Amino acid sequence: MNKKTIIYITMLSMLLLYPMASLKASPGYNLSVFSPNNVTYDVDIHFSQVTKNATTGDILDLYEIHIIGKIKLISKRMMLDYIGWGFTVNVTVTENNNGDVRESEYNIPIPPIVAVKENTRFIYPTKLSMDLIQGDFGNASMQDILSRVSTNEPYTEIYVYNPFYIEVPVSIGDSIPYGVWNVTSQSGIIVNGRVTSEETITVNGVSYNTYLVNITKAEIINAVREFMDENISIPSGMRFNLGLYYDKDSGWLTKLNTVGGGEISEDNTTTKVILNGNLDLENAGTIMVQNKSYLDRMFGLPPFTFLALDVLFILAIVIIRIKRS
Amino acid sequence: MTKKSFLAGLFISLIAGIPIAFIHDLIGTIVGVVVGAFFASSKKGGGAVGLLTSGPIYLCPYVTPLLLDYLNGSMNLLYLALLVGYMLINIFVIAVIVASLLIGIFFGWIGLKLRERE
Repeated sequence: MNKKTIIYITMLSMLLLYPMASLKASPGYNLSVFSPNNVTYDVDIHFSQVTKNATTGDILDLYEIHIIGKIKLISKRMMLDYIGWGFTVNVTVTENNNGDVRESEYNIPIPPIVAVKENTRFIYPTKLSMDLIQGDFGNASMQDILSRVSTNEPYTEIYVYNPFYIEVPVSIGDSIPYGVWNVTSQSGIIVNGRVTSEETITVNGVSYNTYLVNITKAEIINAVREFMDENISIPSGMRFNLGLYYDKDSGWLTKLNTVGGGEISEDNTTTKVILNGNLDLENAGTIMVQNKSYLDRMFGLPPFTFLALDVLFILAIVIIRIKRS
Repeated sequence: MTKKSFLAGLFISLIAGIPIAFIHDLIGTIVGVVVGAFFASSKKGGGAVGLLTSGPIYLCPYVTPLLLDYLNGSMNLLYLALLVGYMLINIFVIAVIVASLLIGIFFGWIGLKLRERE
């Protein structure tokens, strides 16, 4: 192999490496979406349920919950094509139960306990998390649990569609599945969201070009219909909409908002339910939102700068090494 | 192998691998080790580059944000220890380091052959 051949092979490899960050396949997933680190969302969820006497208007029952805080995603490769996702949750929960107001703060680090399969939107629980859920550990000590962490594996019988990213590009009218699926029994609850528009939104002072995916009440009713008792009907006054905004370059979730509620009247009482929730991207972390890597964003550089510099650096090293020999 | 080329290989491996590791951990680790080992130009040097740099490159995207959070004061030391501890007891990290050692030896040998032939 002569010098020229090596230089040509290196340059070709670098050219192939350069677009890996965003193109890969079309449509396809951005490579960075499978391993989010330091991705922070502002959470603000408010739910209230007020029951009143329909005649007098007196409040018979009041329950309110307000969750506000931050959720941070962390990830770590678990196996060759599975990446473990964990969270740090830092929220304040305010509950009002008939005037009895309680405020609690939660600051919990959750190590990667679910596994995301690369190049899919499937989230699998892990064998460890399934054992914990099923209570198989009984009175096991923390040491026993930690000893299982190093060899933890995905439990591939059940998966959940990952709401944090989608394939890009998509077209208006495309269907995006959400929900849970049991592989063994070939059953589950799948709700199909619909890409309804392309929008430019501003989240925490940053402007994003996004696809808006909407999930409506009708789609949820369709998905759960077969599991519902025929005698149970959904009150006609109830409304619900979930809007998910995905960055057009990376397919990553930048904003989620949900509005829902309605009034149910029965036995001389009226129950009013209101649900409002927002999830706003505060820090994109290692996700290549707007084609900017973590390092580009940290140093305030344009998209692809660090990757381009890295490719040039590698080329320079190979050329220098070959010329010196 | 000279001491200089080995040390240069170590630094080059880190500089070449870390920016790519922030996009894809395994690709970043492999690219870093290949370039560093190629520059070290010996089986021993390449193996050492693979052994020493694969861990930092591979874990960089996970540890850096946590460390920055700790330094900013938004995460306490206990949580940092818990999350980093989880990562260190993962058996896949050892598999990546062993694979990088072998890749390093191979590309170190290629670098050596190239130098000898020229």
